Amino acid sequence: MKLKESLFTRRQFLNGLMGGWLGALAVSFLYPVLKFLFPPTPEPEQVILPLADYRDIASNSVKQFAWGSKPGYIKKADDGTLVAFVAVCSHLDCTVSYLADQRKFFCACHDGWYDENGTNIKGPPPKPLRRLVLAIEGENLVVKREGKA
Amino acid sequence: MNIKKVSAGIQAWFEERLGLSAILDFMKEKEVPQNKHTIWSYTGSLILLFFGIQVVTGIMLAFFYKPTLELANKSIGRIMTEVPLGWIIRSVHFWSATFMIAIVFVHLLSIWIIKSYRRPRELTWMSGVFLLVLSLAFGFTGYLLPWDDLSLAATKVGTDIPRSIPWVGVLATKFLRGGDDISGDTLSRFFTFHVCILPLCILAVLCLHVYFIQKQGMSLPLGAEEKGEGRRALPFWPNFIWRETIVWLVFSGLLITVAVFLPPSLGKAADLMAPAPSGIKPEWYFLFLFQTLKIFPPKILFVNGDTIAVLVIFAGVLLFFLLPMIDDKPEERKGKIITLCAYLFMIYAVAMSIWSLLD
Amino acid sequence: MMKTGKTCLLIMVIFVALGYCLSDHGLAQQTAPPAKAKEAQAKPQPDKVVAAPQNIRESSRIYVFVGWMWVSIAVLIYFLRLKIQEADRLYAARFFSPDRK
Repeated sequence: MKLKESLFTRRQFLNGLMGGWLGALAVSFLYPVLKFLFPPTPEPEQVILPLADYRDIASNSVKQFAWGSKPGYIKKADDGTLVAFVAVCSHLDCTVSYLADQRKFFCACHDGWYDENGTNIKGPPPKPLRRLVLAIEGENLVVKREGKA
Repeated sequence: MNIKKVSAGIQAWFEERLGLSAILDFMKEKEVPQNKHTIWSYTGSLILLFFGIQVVTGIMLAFFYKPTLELANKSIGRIMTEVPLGWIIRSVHFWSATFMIAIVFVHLLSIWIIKSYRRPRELTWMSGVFLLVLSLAFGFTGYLLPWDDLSLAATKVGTDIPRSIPWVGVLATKFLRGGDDISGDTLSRFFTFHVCILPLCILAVLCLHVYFIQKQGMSLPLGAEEKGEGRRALPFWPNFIWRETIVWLVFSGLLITVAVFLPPSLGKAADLMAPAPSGIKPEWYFLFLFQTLKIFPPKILFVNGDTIAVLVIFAGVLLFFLLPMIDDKPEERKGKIITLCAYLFMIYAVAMSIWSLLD
Repeated sequence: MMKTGKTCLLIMVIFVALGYCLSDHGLAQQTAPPAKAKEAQAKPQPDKVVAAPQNIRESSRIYVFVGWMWVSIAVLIYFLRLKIQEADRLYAARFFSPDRK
């Protein structure tokens, strides 16, 4: 099918080609700039803690640990098992606290509540607290990202 | 939705409120004379290009740089190793400084030789001398920021030099260092100069400089007005702008290539108590001054050699600043001698720099 | 035009040569750059942090980018020269002069 008229003039074509190529060059300069300005903050694959520091905490209490740059809690349940959470509220990233008498996690920023297993029960938090995989290896407590054995 | 109509509509909206088409009209009216000196008119905007690159890369580096004694060196190490492509950004900043100051010297020498500072362009020249001093100050303050052995030593020497000026010298050194000796306060001070005070100053003087140039138009070579030569000229927009774009593209390309293949490394963190490392040298643009200071004997008659050297350099800079007033008869013998001085200065600076390197 | 280009190139070669002699460069880049930079994180006080791409993938990308950049610059210069010729021709034909407005 032959067109009756050109879609654009030679001038428009060349101008477009030049402008487009200049734009492409500019964007290719922009890419490393953006990579620089948005560096990745990777979470750790695992965190190794001394078991002795966490073994003897009281039941129904939490102790903080560093999950990369985020706060984490190791919680001892009534039966003595240890559980690890990322202590970041799923609403707007505030650090939650554990109220032992109420057996609930509480976020003071916007009155968000989680039960003792980290499930969101009241207030704005849309999701439960993130749970991490905990394993005891010799003298160490190894905390890994969820989904990793 | 006709794009042309929409964009025309938007343009009209802004035009009614800002009246910016006056700028485009001015650029169309502005002419750049075409003669054997035209090539030097590219140097001014090239400086602006490199300065713009410095501002952008500088801001990016400042996002990660920490200007304290303990963390300065480490934060730059982090930029170079952890931040994605940080080493390239730092390298571009480093090389763009060199390029910018090199072109500043080329620009200065070209104006000196062509004598574009003749009436009525004296203030343009004087603001240009301020810009030169500010550019060198940028280089000097920036050099300390990595806080490695070499930069600490160079800053110690550099801030010690004003001390030899009678009466005010000690105060000047104290002001630069934030005390008698170099410390963490010196680093904070130099950082503040480098990212806050000097940018504001240079922007102000730059606006003046550019305003003068637009107000007075481009100068003609010596004697051209008198000879009444048919003025071959190019409109600034679009003819000169297209040419300038080529120059900008080539130089940007060269900058990126050099930055990628010759990135600067980082020495270990400076130790304030350690003895001076061997082979201290300032940045290349200070080498000739450094060597000039070195060749002065420790004492001349009863006066400290350093004092005389610094005063000689100051006198030189002052004469330089007043050049348009001194060169009031450019076509006569005095004018020709002043042109010769430009070439002599070039040879002197290059020779002293090479000597300083070999020393 | 060519004279301008040649002069510019000459000036730049001089600067780069000067810069090469003067700069303290970590020149591991011209052959396949190793990840020397990682040492800095392991040792508390490294003697020198060398600037280099972190791995072979990054360095290949960078070389490709530099190549693409120069190709683009060459293409753009070709177009710009066409535009310059046109603008000069229009100016010579007094297209921009006030009496035609």
